[in-house]
Amino acid sequence: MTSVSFPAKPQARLSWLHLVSIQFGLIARSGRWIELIGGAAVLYVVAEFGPAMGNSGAEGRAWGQWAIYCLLLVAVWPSLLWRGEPVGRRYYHWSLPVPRGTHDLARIAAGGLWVLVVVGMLALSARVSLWPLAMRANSEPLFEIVEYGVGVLTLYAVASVLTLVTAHPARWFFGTLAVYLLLWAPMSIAPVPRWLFRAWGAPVVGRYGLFWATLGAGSSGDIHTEESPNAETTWGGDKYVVTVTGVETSDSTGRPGSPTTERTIEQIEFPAPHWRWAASVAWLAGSIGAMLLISARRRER
Amino acid sequence: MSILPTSVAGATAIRAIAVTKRYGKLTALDSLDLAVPDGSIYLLAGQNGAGKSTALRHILHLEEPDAGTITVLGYDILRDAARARAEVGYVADGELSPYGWLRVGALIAHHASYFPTWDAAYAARLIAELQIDLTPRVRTLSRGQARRVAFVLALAHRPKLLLLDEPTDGLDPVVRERVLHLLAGHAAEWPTTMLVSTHLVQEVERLADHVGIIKQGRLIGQMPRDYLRGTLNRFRFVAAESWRVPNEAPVVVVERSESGHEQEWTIWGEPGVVREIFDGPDVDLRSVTPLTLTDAVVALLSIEEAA
Repeated sequence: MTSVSFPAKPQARLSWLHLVSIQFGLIARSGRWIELIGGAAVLYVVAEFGPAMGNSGAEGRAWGQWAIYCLLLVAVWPSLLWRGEPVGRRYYHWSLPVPRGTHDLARIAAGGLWVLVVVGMLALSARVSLWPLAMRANSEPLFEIVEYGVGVLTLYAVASVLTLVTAHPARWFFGTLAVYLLLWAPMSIAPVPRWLFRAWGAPVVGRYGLFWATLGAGSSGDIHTEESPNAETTWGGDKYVVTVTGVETSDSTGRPGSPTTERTIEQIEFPAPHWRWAASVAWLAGSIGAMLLISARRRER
Repeated sequence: MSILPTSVAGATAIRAIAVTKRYGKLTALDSLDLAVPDGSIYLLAGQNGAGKSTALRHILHLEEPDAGTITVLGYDILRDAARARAEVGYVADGELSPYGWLRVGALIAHHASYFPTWDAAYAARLIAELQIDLTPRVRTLSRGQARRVAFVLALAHRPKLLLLDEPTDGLDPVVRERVLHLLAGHAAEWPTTMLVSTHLVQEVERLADHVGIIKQGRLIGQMPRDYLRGTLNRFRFVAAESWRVPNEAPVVVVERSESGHEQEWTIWGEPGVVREIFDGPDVDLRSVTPLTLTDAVVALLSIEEAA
């Protein structure tokens, strides 16, 4: 190779779109997208042929499990994206004629676009059903994929904040989560005040918790069997309502006179959909706000 | 207070005032005052760990100073670093780029996409002159090969200011000569200010027209090279035992050695003042030799102790 083809000259002031496209292309050339897309493909196989999670037998189980597994992948994706380029080792990046914060935000935005590619893969799969996620009650597939996409991007944004401040984002993300859960578990059996238990759980399963922010914001419902369905109960400090909406009777053999199985059809309302949308918006906006704040603190124009 | 001059007259491409940086208990930059004249080739010399690379990183705002201000090409670097960097070429002492998986050609193209002033024809010329192979991946390059690529990245957008951190380190003699020739040609062809940081002074001394000496994070002196040449010399003389340098004379004897009756002193002082010292019946001045820049830097690094 004796010559190099240069791209068209950029404008005097580099546009945001130009910067994101450079970073998107860089991720493409790096092959790191293979880790994301390939990882998603491997997780599909695990979801399809691996052990069932939760209520098995529901149609679209693999898709739903796959979607959940992909959440873990997305939580790790910022670390893969910045591998070998921790925050203390970005001298090359920052020597470019772009504000330091803007460069890093462009990379994060480009990584987010690659996350949307994965969401697109999920959407394109034939089995569009969000059984473990939104539990499929009265929601449209397109709506489900939108809310899943928002949830995934929210998780990606939360994990990405760490790439701006620490050289070990995955370690901090999962470490913090692990410590949080380890401290939470004993609370459920220890005689701690109810308010403390609820307060501790609020960031994850409270009305604005990360759990809801990530797992989508739609109406939820599921068909499953309950011997004595609860009309109302509490979980993690917030209320959810189980309403029996009907009974589905099915013939397990298809032959006349054979025994039938009755399944209670329930509408389960976890925090009302608008609260969960609010959770998504709050976490996404909070993460983006944190990133902008960190960038602004670098004081460059 | 240093006895060496620390102020530079005229327009400056870089002006750092009282820049301080601490890493824990270590003070890397200690009220650094640096003034690089516009259009000069300024050699920032100092020992390893003196703070040269740290100073350059602060000039590009790759690191945040704890105190002080830096102006680069008229831009306040703490606020307008991106604009300033568009007009600066930088050869870092560390790794070429963290994108080790990119091929050299792709890295150069990637770099070019950030610079509106990128001169593709000039880049091609540099690639040819430095005999750069564009096919290998960046991570497979030797230090010398990476350094050659770094010169293309730093020069091809025709920057007004070049920051070169240990530019010849890792280059074989042939390539080093080629690079120095190329830098001289670049400066002649295009109005460029260069700040060259190195501890290998002898390798770049023929380029420099200004010198700054950094020691333990503090700039102990900066001056035009001609001034240095006139002010720091080696004197060989024979003197009577009664001969003494007058206490009030504003000079500093940096080094002394004896060979038989002859003495050899390296003296810092204004030429006229120094000559007066040797005017007298008790002393016979045999020769005055200007120091090489390398020797001068070594002498200046020890001048404060001598003072």
